[in-house]
Amino acid sequence: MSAQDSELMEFGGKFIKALHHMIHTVRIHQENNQLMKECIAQFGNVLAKMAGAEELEILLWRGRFFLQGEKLLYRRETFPLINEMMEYFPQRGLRGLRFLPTFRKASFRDFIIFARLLDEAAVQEDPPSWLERQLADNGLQWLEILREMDDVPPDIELRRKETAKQTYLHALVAVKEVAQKVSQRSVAGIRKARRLAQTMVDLVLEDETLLLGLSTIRDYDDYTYTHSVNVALLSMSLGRRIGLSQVFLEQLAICGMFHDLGKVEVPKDIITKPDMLNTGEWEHIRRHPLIGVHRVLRLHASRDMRSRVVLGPFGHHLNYDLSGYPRLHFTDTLTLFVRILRIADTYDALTADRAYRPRSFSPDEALRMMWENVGTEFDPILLKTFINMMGLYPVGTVLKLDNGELGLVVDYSSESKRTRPQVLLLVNDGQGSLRGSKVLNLADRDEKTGSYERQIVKCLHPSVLGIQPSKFFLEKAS
Amino acid sequence: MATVRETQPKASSPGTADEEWQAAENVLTSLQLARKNYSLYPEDHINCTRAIERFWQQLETFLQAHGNLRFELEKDRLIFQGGAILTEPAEDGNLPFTLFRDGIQWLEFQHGIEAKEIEGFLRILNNYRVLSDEPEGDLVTALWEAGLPHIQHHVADFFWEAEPKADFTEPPAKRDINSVLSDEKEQEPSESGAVASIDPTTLELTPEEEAELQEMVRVEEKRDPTVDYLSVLLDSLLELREKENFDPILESLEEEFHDSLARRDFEVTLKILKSLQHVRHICESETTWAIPIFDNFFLTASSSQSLRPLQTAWLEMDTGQIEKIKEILLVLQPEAIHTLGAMLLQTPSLRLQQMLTEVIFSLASRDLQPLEAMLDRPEEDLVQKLVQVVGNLGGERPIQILSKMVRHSSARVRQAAVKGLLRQGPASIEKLFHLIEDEDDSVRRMILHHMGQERNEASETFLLKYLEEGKIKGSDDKHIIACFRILGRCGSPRSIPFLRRTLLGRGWMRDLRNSAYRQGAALALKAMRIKGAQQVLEDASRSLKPGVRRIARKVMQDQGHQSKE
Repeated sequence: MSAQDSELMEFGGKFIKALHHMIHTVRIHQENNQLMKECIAQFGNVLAKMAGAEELEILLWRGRFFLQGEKLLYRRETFPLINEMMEYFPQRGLRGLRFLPTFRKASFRDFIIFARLLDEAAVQEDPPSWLERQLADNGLQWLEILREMDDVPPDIELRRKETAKQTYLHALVAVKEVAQKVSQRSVAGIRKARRLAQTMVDLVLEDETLLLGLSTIRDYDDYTYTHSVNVALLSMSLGRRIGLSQVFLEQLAICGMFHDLGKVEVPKDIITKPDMLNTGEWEHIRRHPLIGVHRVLRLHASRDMRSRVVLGPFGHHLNYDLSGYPRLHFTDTLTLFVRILRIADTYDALTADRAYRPRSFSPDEALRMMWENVGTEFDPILLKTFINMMGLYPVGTVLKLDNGELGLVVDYSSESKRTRPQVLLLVNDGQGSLRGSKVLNLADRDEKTGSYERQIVKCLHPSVLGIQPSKFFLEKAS
Repeated sequence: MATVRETQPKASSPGTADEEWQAAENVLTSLQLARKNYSLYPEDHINCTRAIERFWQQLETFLQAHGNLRFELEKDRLIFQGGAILTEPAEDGNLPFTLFRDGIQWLEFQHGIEAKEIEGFLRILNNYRVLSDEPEGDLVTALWEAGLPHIQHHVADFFWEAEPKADFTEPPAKRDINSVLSDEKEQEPSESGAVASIDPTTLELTPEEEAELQEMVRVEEKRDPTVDYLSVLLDSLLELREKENFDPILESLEEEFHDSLARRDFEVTLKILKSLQHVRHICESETTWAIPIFDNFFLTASSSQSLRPLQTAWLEMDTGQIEKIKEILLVLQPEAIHTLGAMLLQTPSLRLQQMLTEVIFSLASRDLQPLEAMLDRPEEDLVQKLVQVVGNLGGERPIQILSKMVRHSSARVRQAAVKGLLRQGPASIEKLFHLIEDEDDSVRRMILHHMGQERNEASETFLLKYLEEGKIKGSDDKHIIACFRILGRCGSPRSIPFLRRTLLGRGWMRDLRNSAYRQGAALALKAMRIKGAQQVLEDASRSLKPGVRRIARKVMQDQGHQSKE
């Protein structure tokens, strides 16, 4: 990004702030109010400065604002405000706004009308259509509503996907490095892990769905490390959902990445044993949280960092009702981090292909099983939030549809009701593999009958088909 | 459709470019100075604050005039507008290398920057001037964490350049794809999906749950993780059975102990000690190899070095904190007495002295040796206080110590030792009688007072012999008379012959002390309050010697007055 573009970004933050301020001020003040006049003038100035002689387009896409096609870099201090605007736009069915060059002729009153219409659109039946009509009726020709993302900025999406993939792979390496060092009783710093955790936090704030897609990754050669990174991603996503700050999300990610440090030393034949474990083998498993504590204490990290990270290994097999293991003598409550990790760890473990289970559980089955243990194993509020976040058919689930098609869940079109996902149709490529086809929205209804165009018949675990769902997330759709 | 905005580089005249360059140089110069001062002085030192202020001003001047200030990084230089504006060797501590080392490709200061961001930035630069092996973080992680809104940077992913390209493995398919695709259509799906059996309405958070969730987050972000951390460490201690796993946990607890003392979080300090006591107690039956390790922990915790934070902060404590400190001290090993003794000397507060003395007493009851070792200290005040503690302890060893301390060079120490010994009971007079001639008057008086409290054969014997031999040091008539008085109080008819001889005898004492002896004898007889002694006094009142007569009559007169009263 050039210096000029960074200046644009700086004003972009000001623009969002000015728009937010204007909307709120118009909502509560009369037209002749001095404050109203000031904020309208400010908005107009910022708009003029940014647009120059051209039109100005602001777009909301995949949880991020884009200004003139460039991703807006958020300053942390404006994040709550940005978050609010990211809710404001979808509530009005808006993907963006385009200010045409003629906005310079707009009057003070025009801006007031514009702000009021934006606000009132939320309660209309078809907000974007209503808004378009109102803008036309009120002569606000300098403003266009952007309803749909007709063309996804392909380079932006690809860049993000590549960053996400590389971040994931590097996180695996980082976890493995640390695990091996502590296992050999060497000093292990966590600089790389922290860098990656911070990148993951930035990614989850931009595109939660992509990170959830990555959390479906399975390594069929070595479960432990992908599991650790997946738990980190799932935990961070849940943490973001409940409103943890970025600094705490980073700590949660580190907790997740190292929560199974103690398992590295459990003999592989115990972990992969298909039959019931004997007493000695079970004891090995039960000890791994404590060994994990020991390993975390050996990390070359500040006391503050260790004091948080150690909770992950220790508590991730403790249930909400304090049953589970290890045995407790002094601990009488579970921290929020531990309760989050418990959910993330269980979900990923249930959906993984494990030697001791005859079959893997599909993501939706895993959620159902967890729901049956709400209040005993899992914090009820957190589990509800987790299931709402994942949707009844989490990203990465393979669905068999009533017409025989297979669809891979890739997203949900509406935040409020995550029961009817968007699926990427999987078709036979004629060489014994599957490839992605088009994306269907299972929430679409037949115009005439009103019933859903497709019905879900069955859920399948991706391993049944021999696929890594993440491959489809990370590739360009054909 | 969104388009990327095309921008043109800022056009500038040569004059403007020079000014801009100069302004950028000024900013860098002031930054370097600020860095240097920051590393040399505390943050609130005037040299530091001035340098930061100056840097900020220079930066503000630039930003106002020329917009955002961006530098590109190479390992030995900062680049501004394509030219090297600062060149330094690629070494630890130098600005370009420090930034480049952690992968920063460019750094930009933006309009609106505040002074506290500058301070934060300098702090980070200072903290990560040099990177250790296997560090926890670096400049980049610190900048991210600090979230400085007007200092932007871009980072290269240099960590991974040497890593071989990896990719994800594919699972083996468990079923043939064609067979999956050719499965017949299943039965009736439900409205939301055949297999979704979680009722979505049960997943909606109620307003109370929303509020509870927000509170959870608020509490978590404000919470001090110390208590949870301690619980984890303690639980781990109890469940782990190998020494190699035990040691790092105990080391961490030791670190927490020291930290809590240093930050005056005595609640935590006490929790650690009491919990470890409890764990030790459990280990006595289950993990006996751990006992010496625990004991060593407590020994270290009781050392002067460990308790140093208390020594420096002790005088500023409030009542609540003092009570907590007392509880902490009572859990420690007797070795802590070394530190407590020093604290005893420091504090003028009687209340605090009292508290410390109580603690020392309790610790010394478990093991007297540390206290005993301190009795050789030159500080008289301290030794006196410690001897007082010994005096309150029972048992053979304290008596031995006190017996030794009655010969101490300091009168105050001797007094304390005497008091202590006298508390042990009447048999002690044997060890103490020599002090009847102590150079300190108060010591002498203590001994005499003790002897004179009741009729006592031993005391009578010692005094009789002392007076009969007549080898009293000095010529202190008062002392002689006092001895006779006490003889009268503790004596029996056994002493009457001596007293008679002393009062009525002729030429028995050839020197000027005749009078003191006669007076003393008369007073002794009076104090005895027995018939035989009264008779001697009456005889003396009729003596031919006027001196004897006078002494006896005076004593009897006083006696009469006292009877009337």
